[in-house]
Amino acid sequence: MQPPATAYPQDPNNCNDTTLHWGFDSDPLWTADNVDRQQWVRSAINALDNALSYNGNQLISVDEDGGISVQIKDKPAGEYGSSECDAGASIWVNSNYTTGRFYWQVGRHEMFHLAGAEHGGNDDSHNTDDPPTMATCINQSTFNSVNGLWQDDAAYETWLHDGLANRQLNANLGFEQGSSFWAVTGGATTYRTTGGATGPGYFIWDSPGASDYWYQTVTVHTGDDNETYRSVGNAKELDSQYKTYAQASLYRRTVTDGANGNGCSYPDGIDDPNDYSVSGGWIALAESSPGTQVGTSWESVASSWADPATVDGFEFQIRMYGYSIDGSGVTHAFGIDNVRGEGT
Amino acid sequence: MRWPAFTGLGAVVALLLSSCGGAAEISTQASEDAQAIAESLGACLEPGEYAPADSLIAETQSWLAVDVARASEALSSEKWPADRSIETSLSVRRVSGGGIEGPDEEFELRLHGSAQSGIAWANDHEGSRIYVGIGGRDLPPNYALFVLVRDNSGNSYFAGECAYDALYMPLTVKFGASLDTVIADAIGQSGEELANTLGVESDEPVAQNPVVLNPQDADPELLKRLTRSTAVVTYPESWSASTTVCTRIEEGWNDCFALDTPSKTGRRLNVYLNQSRRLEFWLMDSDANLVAPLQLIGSITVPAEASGSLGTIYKVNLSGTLDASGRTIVEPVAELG
Repeated sequence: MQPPATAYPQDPNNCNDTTLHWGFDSDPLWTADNVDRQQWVRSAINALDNALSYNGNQLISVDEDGGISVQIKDKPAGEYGSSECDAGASIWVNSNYTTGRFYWQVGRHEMFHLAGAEHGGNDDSHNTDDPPTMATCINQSTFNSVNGLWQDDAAYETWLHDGLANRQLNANLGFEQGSSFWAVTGGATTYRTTGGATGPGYFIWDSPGASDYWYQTVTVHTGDDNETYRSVGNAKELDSQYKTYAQASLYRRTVTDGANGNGCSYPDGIDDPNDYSVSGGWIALAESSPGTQVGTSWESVASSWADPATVDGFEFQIRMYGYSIDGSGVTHAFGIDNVRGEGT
Repeated sequence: MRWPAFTGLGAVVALLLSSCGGAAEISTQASEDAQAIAESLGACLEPGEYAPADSLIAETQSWLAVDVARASEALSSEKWPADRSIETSLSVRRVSGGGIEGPDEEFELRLHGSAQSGIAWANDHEGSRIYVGIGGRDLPPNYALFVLVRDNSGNSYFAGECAYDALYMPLTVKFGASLDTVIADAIGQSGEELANTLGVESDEPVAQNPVVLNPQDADPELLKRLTRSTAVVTYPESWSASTTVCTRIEEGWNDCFALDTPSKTGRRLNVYLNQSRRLEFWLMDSDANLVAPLQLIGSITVPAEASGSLGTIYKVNLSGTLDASGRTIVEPVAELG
């Protein structure tokens, strides 16, 4: 994912907090050369609050009320920062840089380590021009020019802390962040803020027919992991006089990492997620029955578990198909929620 | 001002030595000594996360050759703090491509104080040079990206805290025995020339040449010209293999399914159709390798009557005998169901 942000690490690191209390140290280097570096680091850390779980809760909560020591240190160029979760949690960033993009990336990267994140690749699944927060072995000239939480950051928070029975592959699976990271091939959509299957948010979708779908694409570097996967979604019809069908699908393509490692630290036998290629066509990996009919209460549609051969990684596309039709053959809108790919 | 003489004579001597007996032993000892020197000049008390060494050096906009003797004299009267950056006036020469050096000038250079170890070492080893690169983005314009030490044998080291972990080792892993040659070529270069010398490439994922007809991948303008449809594909229950079946139109490749999971009700495939409505079915390998399809199973033309209120939906039946390898179908047929 760009693994759920991080190459889909099997086990979180020793730091795995969902609530991060932190505060700056009092080093004058924070404002050296009259540059306010604290504002950038603060914004960067606060962005971790933005990803929401399937039920609308924050996946990671950060509070600037003391605890983790956020420090600044005078180091040579090229040494970005570090984090420590044992013996008193702390992070530090290099004081010699002078741009927001450096501190947004490094500040959030180091703090995300304390929430369980490990390193991943340098291309976000949603926008491949942007490195996700946990990218490593990248030059700061490629850091994002704006502060924000990218798709793979949100997906990784979901993977780490969503609380569902299985590991979740994608971001914003409960639509609690609107349509962020999702797209639809056709049909009008309306966002509702109450009445979702679990959390309050969900979408009403006026699907044109059987060939249209919602989708989110995510690259997952799996390394030496051998997992099984399935697709799941929730749907309901808006009128019992209609017939409404929903299908959750998971498609995949093969990701191949570079033949040589890049010398940086990745989990799970991953060599170099910064140098990867995606090949092949989109192959249906796991699909629920296309003929699953749903009623006016939220129902779950889920595929069986699929066990693909182990490769360096997968590009997954999570899809939700469906349509609602009346006796005259006219299509109508229906509700969808919690669309996701799951792994074991 | 003492500027070391060109090291050409030293290089000739090294060549003569290497042609004598025991050259391998000398070479091994020399490389071990170089590594020890590099580790000493770039020692690390507090490791961190680093920029890629090659792209850090590739940021260099200007190369400066530092007057070692004068810098050493200054340090002998007042050492720099080793745990922070300093800004100091040094006598330097700007270096352009090919190692051509300009006139002496005074330059206010910012660098980390830990790099003074390199200046002291260079001063103690006749013929050694110090080079710094400046001009990195996101740093003050006069901040040294690195401090490079080259001895009179042409060996390259990096001075400063953690420079051994951050610079020397990654570059040694990348360039191996060619490290010193690459560094020598790089001195004075900038921009694309420097990036090429250091092998710093674009980090864009490799583009896939065959067109994949998916809203994530294809040009939206292309997809607008096509019609989305659904094919429900049935095939013999005896077809069981890791190979896959994909559909294709002239504009590109549609979705695929694997033959390792039988389906009595048929596999539902998303298919983009063009105006001809002609659709090919191909047998592919287990990764659906689009540049090396295995076999054309057959093709159909989707009739106009297939389009209804729920879009264009049609059944397709594939038949034939899948051989033991799973990679060939005997008497393959694709027909509308």
